[in-house]
Amino acid sequence: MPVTGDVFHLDKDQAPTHWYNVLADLPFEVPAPRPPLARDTGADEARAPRPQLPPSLYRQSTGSGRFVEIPEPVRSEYQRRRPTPLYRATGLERALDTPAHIYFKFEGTSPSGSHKINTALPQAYYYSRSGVREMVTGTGAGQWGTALATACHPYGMECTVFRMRCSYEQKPYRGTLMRLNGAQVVKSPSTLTEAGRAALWENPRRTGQPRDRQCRGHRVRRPPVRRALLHRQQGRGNRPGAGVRARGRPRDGRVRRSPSATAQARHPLQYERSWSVGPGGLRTVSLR
Amino acid sequence: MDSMTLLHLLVTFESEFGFELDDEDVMNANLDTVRSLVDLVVDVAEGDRGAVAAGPANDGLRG
Repeated sequence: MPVTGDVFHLDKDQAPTHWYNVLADLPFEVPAPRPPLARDTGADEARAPRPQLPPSLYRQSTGSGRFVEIPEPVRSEYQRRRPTPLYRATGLERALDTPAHIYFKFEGTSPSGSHKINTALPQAYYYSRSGVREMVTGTGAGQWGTALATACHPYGMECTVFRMRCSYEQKPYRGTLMRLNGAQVVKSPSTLTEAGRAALWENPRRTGQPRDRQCRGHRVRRPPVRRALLHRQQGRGNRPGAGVRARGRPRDGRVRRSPSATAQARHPLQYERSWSVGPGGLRTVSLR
Repeated sequence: MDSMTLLHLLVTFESEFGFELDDEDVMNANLDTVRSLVDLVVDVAEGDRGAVAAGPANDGLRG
């Protein structure tokens, strides 16, 4: 195995031949799926269930075998797109003053920017083997959508990705990657589905985020605060005394509405931007 | 019954009766009645669909 400093590079022929099934080593048995509650099935009582998952995937999810052999068509795709390099985190080891060796896989070398291709490829393979011709999925920031679009392509499957509207607009390059792999990318909510039409009817500016209501609710008008937020978004740090730090970032990640912002929110015509602070930092949500 | 419960039932039949259902057969089956479910299981068990005769599907499972 070639080693460069703290980086370990695997050759293509060292790509794994088996998946490890953690269920085999659990000290307890995982219970069978619970039957659905009546309230969950009430709307579909008249419709017979259809399997949404190939039995092969279900068996792997519930089986007790310790190793699952990777089918050759999946393994050859792994060899094309992996292995990703393994790093030893020597700096973290020093910082923690630990004798333990800490390693991490760097998945940023994958086109999807994450490990998600590992599971997207077998899923696409098993669905294609089941006669499914198209996969439809949802994605937020776009990593899963990119991974599935990349995975569908070698198995000759079509792929449609419903992508969260605000992310669709903020990160168009991810959509480009999906389209390069032949996927159709749709802003979500969209007018293509009943649920999407209902959501847009309720609020045409819906961003697609689960915290939509919160995103819409916060309105910032005070120029110093807005400038401070812009500075933070652009990585230039907080401006001292601008008020953002004074109010602080609460533990739940939400920006609390200041009394003045609350008052200004009563004048929607003065509204300029919506902001949201989440685990990933500050982001602009929408413009009006 | 939902789709996951249906899959659980089918996989239970597999281990109970010692055969393996083909992915495509299951995904394309119209299992809207108990009768259709029984027909699918009987067909596979009797080898009419060739699943048993051709050996287990290569889904990579290994004990």
